Amino acid sequence: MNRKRAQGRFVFFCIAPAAILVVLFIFVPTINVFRMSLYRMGGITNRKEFVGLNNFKSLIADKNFLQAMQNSIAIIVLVTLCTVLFAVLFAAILSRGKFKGKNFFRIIFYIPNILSIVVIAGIFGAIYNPSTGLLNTFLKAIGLESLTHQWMGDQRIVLYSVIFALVWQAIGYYMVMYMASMAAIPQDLYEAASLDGATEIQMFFQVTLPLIWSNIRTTLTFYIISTINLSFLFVQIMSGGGPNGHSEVFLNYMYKQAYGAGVYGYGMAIGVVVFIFSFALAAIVNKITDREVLEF
Amino acid sequence: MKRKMVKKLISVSLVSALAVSMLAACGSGSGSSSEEGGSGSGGDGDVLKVAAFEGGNGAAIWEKIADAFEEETGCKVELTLSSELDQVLTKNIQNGDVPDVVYYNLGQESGFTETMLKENAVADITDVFDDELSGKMLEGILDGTAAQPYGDGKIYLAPIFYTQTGFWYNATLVGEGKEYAVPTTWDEMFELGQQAKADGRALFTYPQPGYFDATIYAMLAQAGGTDFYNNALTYDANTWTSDEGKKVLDTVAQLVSSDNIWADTVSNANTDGGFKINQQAVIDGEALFMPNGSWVVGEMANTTPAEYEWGVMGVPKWSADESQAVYTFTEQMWIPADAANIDLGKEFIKFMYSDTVVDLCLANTTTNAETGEESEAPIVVPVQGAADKLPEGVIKSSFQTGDDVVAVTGTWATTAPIEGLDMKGSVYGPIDSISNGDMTVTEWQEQLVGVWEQCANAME
Repeated sequence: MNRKRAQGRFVFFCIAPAAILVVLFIFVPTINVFRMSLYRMGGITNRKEFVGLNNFKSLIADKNFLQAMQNSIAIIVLVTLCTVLFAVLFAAILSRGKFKGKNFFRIIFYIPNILSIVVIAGIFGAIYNPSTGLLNTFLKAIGLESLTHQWMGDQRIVLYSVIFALVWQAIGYYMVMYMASMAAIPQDLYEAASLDGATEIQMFFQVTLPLIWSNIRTTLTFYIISTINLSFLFVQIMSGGGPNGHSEVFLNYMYKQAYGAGVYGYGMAIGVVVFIFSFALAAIVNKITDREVLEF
Repeated sequence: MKRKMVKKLISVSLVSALAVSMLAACGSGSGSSSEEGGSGSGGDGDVLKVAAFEGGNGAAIWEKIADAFEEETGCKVELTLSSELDQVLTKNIQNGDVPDVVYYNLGQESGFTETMLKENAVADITDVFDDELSGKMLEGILDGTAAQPYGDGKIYLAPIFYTQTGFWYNATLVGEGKEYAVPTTWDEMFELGQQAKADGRALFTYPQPGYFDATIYAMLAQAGGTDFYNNALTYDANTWTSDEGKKVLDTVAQLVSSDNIWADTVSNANTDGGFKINQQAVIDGEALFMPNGSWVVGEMANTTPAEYEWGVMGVPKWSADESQAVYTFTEQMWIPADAANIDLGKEFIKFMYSDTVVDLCLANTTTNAETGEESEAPIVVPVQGAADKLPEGVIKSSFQTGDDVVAVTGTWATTAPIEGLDMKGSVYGPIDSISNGDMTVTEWQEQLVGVWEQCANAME
């Protein structure tokens, strides 16, 4: 009995430092965001006025926020779809294919992940520049001048230009993750499938994909969280939300409202919505991708 | 058993020591800063805390002004200089360490000064501008909303520096005896556009849509006169539906239409640092005019060829016999309402208009961080006669004076905070869309009417 209590006490003291840190640096700030969203405050001085749920009411009627929300959802969906497709495809080719320079391609694909966001935004600035940029110059050189565009200036294209940059930087990271789980699939499964006369494509859909499914599921949550965060950084550097708000994403909008428009409390309300939205989305995605886990 | 007990005790005490020391470390930060705040706010009156934005004017000028003030009054000036002053001050003010005087403009990206005004955290400094001082200052400079942000007749922001804005142009191509003549009216301007287009050049570009602020202020005053302009600044409901307001919107739309605008303008305007590419287009002769201020000369010095000449003119008029409205851009100094030494702060603001400071500012130089080259960067204090002392050149010519020149100052009046409103984005952002042809003038007008209604309701 005494021993049990002593053990309990020991466990308590071992966990306490970590628990205190989590409470202090994660729970308290999060609760603070929720609390501040109920105030009208500028965020500089300590003057504030309790306004209840007014900030949330204003949010529903705020067209700019709805546009930012729409853009963010489009970015999350398209970036996730494109990245999953390409990352799984490249991972399958690199792990199953038999050709020279596999390691070389692996490194090339991974490079964007080592680069900082500022460098990537700089690279895409050089690619998208309408006069001297790589893309328009290349299109002109091969006689496709009609396809040249103001990639960051045309409000119907700007969002896709940002999405392309996001996909470009994300592929390598997820590809390496998928390759790791593909490498764990026993070779004899493929041999058996091949004896049964399965083609490479059939093997991909019948063997590879089901066996890395739980890995893909985990990464879907990563996609949601990282796309929300990275789209803010990309948009801030590449387009500032312009032209005229057509590439605005909700975190950038939150930043502008909280730190530029003098309505810090309203910014925090946007933060609360983003927080709940990302949680809900991750939960939904997790639920609908739920399959029986196959083991080997 | 005993040994086990001792071991346990040691491990428990180590773990708790770790936890306690971490908590202590977290706590000590705020503890010491509040202490700092305490000593500051209890100041003995001899220490003046001045916080100044370190921008294009350089840091040296503030050190010189501080030294001169110390010499004059015998008090000690504690200077905080930062290019990210808003962040430094936000942290300090929250910790109770409030500066006595702040130099930070309206219209900055962070909206720091606007937020302080919205929080009613800026002190009333009307009494600084007694008859003697206000008589010495440029006429009208204290009347606008850039000095009286609430439009209530009380001065909260001291205009300490000023420049006149207008359209800056490539004077190697435009000017007397050059390829193109300087236009004075909008008709001449758009005719020039046709001529430039035939030569493969664009008439106009803009660094970012936000640079239209001074242009639109000047155009509103030009179109409707001072009363109309002042009503517009305080959100008169008819501002944009009136003939004058509509005329301004139509003219801006024509100016940025695909006939006149440099094609890459919108693309560059929104990317980080892209505004410089647009400014370079004027230097390179790809576009002829842009809205800007005298800071552009120093800002683009690194990429300006030696033989290049800048020119500056007022925003064109609708008819040649009208007087010319010129928007005066001021930089502001203010005192936080919670400052410890408000009286000494007011003395410092007064000192900013003394002959000593006027001369120090005119003699200001900046050092190019890349090349180490020192260049003249005169700053002009808005007292009468200061601009006349400037050396001859384009900067002096940007300070237009004369009987037919009407100086216009002010900014959109400060309102109570409005959730979801981004003033710059709502007023000037549509210019990008209009330029692309994705928005019509009517849609822009409707948006502005909506914003004006929101702001009028939030006026205090």
